[in-house]
Amino acid sequence: MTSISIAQPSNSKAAQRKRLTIKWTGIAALVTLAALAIFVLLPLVEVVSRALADKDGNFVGISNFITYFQSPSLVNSLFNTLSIGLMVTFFVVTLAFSYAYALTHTRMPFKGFFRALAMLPIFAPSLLPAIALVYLFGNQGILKEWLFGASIYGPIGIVIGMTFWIFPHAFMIIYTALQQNDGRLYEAATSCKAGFWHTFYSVTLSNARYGLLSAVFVSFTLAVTDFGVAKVIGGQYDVLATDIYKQVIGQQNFAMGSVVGVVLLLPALFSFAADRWVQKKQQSTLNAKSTPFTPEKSWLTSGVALATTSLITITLLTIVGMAVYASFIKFWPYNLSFSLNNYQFDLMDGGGWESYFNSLKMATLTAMIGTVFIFVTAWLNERCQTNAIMRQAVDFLSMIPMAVPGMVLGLAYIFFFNQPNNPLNFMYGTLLILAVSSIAHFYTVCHLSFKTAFKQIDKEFDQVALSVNRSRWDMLVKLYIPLSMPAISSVFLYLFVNAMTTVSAVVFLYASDTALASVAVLNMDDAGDIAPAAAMATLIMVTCLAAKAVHWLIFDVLIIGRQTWRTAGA
Amino acid sequence: MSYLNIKNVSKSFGSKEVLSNINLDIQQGELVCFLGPSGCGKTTLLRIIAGLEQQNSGTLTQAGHDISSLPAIDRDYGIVFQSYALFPNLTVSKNIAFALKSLKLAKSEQKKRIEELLELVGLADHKNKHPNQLSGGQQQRVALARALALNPGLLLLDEPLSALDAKVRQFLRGEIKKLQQRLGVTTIMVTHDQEEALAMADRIVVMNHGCIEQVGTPEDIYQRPISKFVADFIGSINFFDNDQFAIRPEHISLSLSASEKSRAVEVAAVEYLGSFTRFTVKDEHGLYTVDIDSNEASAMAHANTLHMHWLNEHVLNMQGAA
Ligand SMILES: Nc1ncnc2c1ncn2[C@@H]1O[C@H](COP(=O)(O)OP(=O)(O)O)[C@@H](O)[C@H]1O
Ligand SMILES: [Mg+2]
Repeated sequence: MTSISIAQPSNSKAAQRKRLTIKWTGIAALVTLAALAIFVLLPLVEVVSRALADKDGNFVGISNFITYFQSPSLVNSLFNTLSIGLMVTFFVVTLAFSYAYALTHTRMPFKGFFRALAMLPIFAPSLLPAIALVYLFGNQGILKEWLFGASIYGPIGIVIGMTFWIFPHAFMIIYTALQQNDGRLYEAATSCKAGFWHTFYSVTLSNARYGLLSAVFVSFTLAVTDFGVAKVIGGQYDVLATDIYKQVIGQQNFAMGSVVGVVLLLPALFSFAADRWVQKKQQSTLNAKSTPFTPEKSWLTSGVALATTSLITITLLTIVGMAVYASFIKFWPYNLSFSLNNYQFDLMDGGGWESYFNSLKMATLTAMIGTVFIFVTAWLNERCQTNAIMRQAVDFLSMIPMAVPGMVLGLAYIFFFNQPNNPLNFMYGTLLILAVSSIAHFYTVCHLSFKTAFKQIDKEFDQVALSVNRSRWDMLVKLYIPLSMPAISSVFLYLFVNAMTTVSAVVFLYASDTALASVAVLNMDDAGDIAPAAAMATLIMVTCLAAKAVHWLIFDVLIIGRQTWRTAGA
Repeated sequence: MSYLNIKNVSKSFGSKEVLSNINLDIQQGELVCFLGPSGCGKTTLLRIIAGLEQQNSGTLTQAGHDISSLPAIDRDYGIVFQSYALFPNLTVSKNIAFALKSLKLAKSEQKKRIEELLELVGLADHKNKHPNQLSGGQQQRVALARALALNPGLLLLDEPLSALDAKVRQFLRGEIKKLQQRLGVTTIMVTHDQEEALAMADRIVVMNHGCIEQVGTPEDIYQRPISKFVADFIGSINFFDNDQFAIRPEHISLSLSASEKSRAVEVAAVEYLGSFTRFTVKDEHGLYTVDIDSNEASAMAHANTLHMHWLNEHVLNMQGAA
C-alpha cells in the first residue's frame, strides 16, 4: 500500500507569495494601460487639439475646418479619396471573391500554389506596384498603348496599384468565410433541385455575407488611408493622405495638416465601426457542427477556375516581375543590359544602404518589443485583470490603432514627442520611436490574435495552479507561452513585415541618420531615381520573403514542429 | 467537531440568487456528493469552498480554522475539473511535478513522490506520455493524482466522470471510491447523476434551486425522501392518492392472474431495458411505472390486462412533505 505523507507547505509563506503575485500583475497591468494611453491616445488628442488651433497654438474652434471646406482643391481631395476608395473596394472584392471561390468551391489543381501566391503583395511595400506601373504604362512604359492615350499618372494608376496591394487582405477574409460553408446545406440544396445560381445566391453568398462585408470595409479603409501608391503614381490627382504630407512637409502648415488628418479619420472610423459590427454578427452565426463541403468534379468549372486564378496570378507576378526586372536594367528604356548599378544606393540621395540596415534594425526591434509587449498586455488583460473597467479600457485602446490612418498616427507622434517639455522627447529622431510608432500602428491585429489564442485556453488551468500554490508567472512560462506559440510566431512575422514595408507613419518621423528603406524608395522616386527606387522596393520584398522563410524554419519546424504534444495521437 | 462547516452561506450573481442560506457539516474522511439538477448551484458551492468564488454572506470553517475570506491559494484542497485541465504541453509526470513545486523537494524525492502517486492511480507505465496520448479515463486519473499531489485535507471533484463513456465511468466510480477510502481524504463530489451519487457517496446532499433539500445516506435519501422533489429526482417513483403516497417501480409486482389484494390494470406500454422490463400500466386513477425482472416479464409482455400488487411496507408516506 502506498503511503501518502508529506508535510504541507506552511500557510504563511503561501500567503506572502499571494500578496506578491497580486502586486506584480496589478502593477504590470497599470503600466501597460498607461503605455497604451501614452502611445496611442495622447498623440491623437494632440492632433485634434492642433486642428482646433491656429499656427501660434491659440484655440480657434472649428475655423480651420471652415477654411478647409472653403478651399476647393482640398474638398476635391476628399471627393477623390472617397471615389478611389469605392472603386478599389469594388475591384478588390470582386477579384478576391473570384479567386477565393475558385480555391474553395471547385476542384481546380495546384490550390496550395495559388493560395501562397495570392499573399505575395503583402511582402512588398505599396510603393512597389506603383513603380512597376510606371514601367508598364508610364511615359516610357512597355504597354503604354494599352491605355489608349489615358495616363497612368492619376486615378487609373492609383486604383490598379491599390488593388494589387490590398488584394491579399481581402482574399484572406473572403477565403476564410467561404471555407466555412456547410456541406450539408449544399446537399440540401441539391435535394431540393435548386439550380446553380439559386444555390450560389442562397447558400454560398448568404453564408459568406459577413466575410464579404468585412472584406469591403477592410479594403475601403486601406484604400482611403494608403499613402505610398498615391504618392508615387497619383500625379496631380490629390487624395487626403497625400494632402497631409503636402501640408506638413511641403508647407509646414501643421494646423491644416491636422485638419486633413481629422477629416481622414472620419471615413476610416466609420469603416472600422462597421467592420466591428459585422464581426460581432459573424461570430454569433458560426456553427461548430458544420461538415466540410466537397465540390463536385467538373472539368468545366475547374477549367474556368484555373483560368481565372491564373490570370490574376499572372497579373500579380507581372507587376512584381516588372519592378524586379527594372531594378536590374542599366538605363531604361535605352540600354536594357543587366547591371547592379541601381543597387549602389550610396551613390543616390535618399539614405543609401544605411537606410536598408536601419529598416532591418527597426523591423527587428518592432517585432521583438511588439510581440513581447502585446503578448504580455493581452495576457494580463485577459487572464489577470479583475477590474472590469480596466479590462475594457485596454480592449478599447487596443482597437483604436486599427481605425487610425498611418499618416495621422505619424503626425500625432511628431506633435506629441517633439514637444521639448515632453519627458519622452529623447525618443524623437531615434530608431526607437520608429519602432514604437510601428507597434502602435499595427497593434490591433496582434492584440486580437493573442486574445483569440487565450480564449482557447481553459480558465480552469489557472484555478488548478491556485490549488497547488503556483503563481501567475509559473503559468505564463509553463502554459501560456508554449500553447500560444503559433500566435506568437505569426504576430512576430506580421510586425516584422509591416515594419519593413510601411511608409505612412514613419515618413514623418525619420531623421537624417534614421532614414528607412521604404522612405528611401519614396525619396528616390521623388528625385526621379525611379530605377534605384525599384531596386530598393525589390530588396525590401526579398527581405520580407526571406524573413518568412527563416521564420518558417525557426517557428514552424524547430519550435512548433517539436511540440509533439500538438499532434501526437493516442 | 466536523471537518468542514458551512454556515448560512448565500451567493448571488448580480440580482440572481444562486445559493440561499446553505448550512452543512462534513465529517473528516467522508465522501459527500452534491446532487441536483443542472443550474441548481452545486458548482458554485464547490467553488466557494475552494475560494474560487466569494460568498456574499456566511462563514466556512475547515479543520477548525475560519477560511471564509482566505484566498484560494492559501486554502488546503486539491481539485479535479470536468475538463481535467491537464497541461497539454507537459508529460504526465511533469503535470504532477507542477503541483509538487511548492514543496521544494529534492529531485530524487520528487521523482519518488510522482511514482507513488502514479502507482496510486494505476498509471505508472504512462509517466512520459502527453495527455493527448491517453484515454479519457487515464487523463481523469492523472488529474486525480495531481489533485492529490500536495496531500490535501480536502479533495474537490466537479463532475469528474461526466465526460467519460458509460463503461469507463462505472469502472472509475469504484476506483475513486476505493482510493478515497484508502487515503481517508475528505472528499466532495459534484454530480447530476443520481446513480453515481447513490453508488459512491457516504452521504448525499440533494440540492434544488440554490437550497439544500435533504442530506442523508444513500439509503435515507432513496427510502425516506423528505420531499416530493427528492423522491422524484432520485430514481423513478409513482405518486398516488393526490400525491400523498408514493411507491418505487421495483416495489410493484405484476401477474397474469388476480390475487386477493391485487387490482386489474391495462398495459399501456412495455419497454425492454435489459435486466429489467419497464411496464407502463393504467387504472382508473392514472398511470404507474412498474419495473419487473426481465426473466419474469417475458411471459407478460404481450398481455393487455395484468394484475398489480404491492406491499404496504414499501409505500412512502408523503403527507406533510413539500
Ligand atoms: N460567474 C457567473 N456569473 C453569473 N451567473 C453564474 C455564474 N456562475 C454560475 N452562474 C449561474 O448560477 C447558477 C448555478 O450555477 P452552477 O453552480 O454552475 O450550477 P450547477 O453546477 O449546479 O449546474 C446557474 O443558473 C448559472 O447560470
Ligand atoms: Mg456544475
